[in-house]
Amino acid sequence: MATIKLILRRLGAHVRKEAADCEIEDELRFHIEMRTRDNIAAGMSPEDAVADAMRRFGDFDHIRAICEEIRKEWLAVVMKVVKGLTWIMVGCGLALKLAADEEAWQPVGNALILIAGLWRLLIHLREIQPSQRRIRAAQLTIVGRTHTIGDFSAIDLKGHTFTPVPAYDKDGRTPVERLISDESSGKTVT
Amino acid sequence: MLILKTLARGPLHGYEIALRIQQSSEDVLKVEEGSLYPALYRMEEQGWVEAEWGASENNRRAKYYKLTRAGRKQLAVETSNWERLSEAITKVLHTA
Repeated sequence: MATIKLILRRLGAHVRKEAADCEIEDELRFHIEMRTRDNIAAGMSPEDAVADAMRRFGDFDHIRAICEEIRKEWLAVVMKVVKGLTWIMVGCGLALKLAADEEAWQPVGNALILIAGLWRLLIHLREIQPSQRRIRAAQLTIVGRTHTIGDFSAIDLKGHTFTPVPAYDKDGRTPVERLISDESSGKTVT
Repeated sequence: MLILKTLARGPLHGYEIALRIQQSSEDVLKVEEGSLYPALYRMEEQGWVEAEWGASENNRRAKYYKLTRAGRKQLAVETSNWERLSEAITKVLHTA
């Protein structure tokens, strides 16, 4: 029973993945806040209390990353089972469509295949990481607006933030043309 | 084992678990407090503990962990293993 509850809760968390990640952060921050509160109650200054709480806690980002990783490992196993179920649904749907004599079963077969297809699509969309989604959005922007100077916001790729270089600047020059032009005009190139 | 034992008395949030371990060991066991959380997450995966969000004593939202039946069994196994090991080490120390 406890396992079933855990599976249902985790599947719910997978559907609202960002919320699950926030919950990890909330939990870790709560710990630091409680330690800070106790430190202040013990007579420390607020600055010292926070510093001590952080020191005792250890590397916050590293610990949060480990917790998220543990969550993902478990989810990977559950998602394999869920994916397997979608194939079983497709199989049952096809079998009903092909083998059932009564016409009444045909819509049931169609519905099973449709639900399995939609379910699979939903899983696929959820599996794309937020960073990948942002990159895809940026790529679509580039494809759709090739000659427009896009003001791209920074992309967060697995924790490493970088800002894409626009293909063309406001004078319509490519990055290489810009580099050559800046060098020949004696500008410092960084 | 220490976490499971601490939770045997009732549901606690992570900070309380860290405090109880430290207090029970009379400040001998001082671990990096953050390392408690990956351990709790692993235990949750194993089904040894269950977590639920609730309100803390200062009315903040906190995640409470409680021991499951599987967790109690695991605690019994680990306690027995530890007792055998520490007994064996004590014997060696006393004979050597």
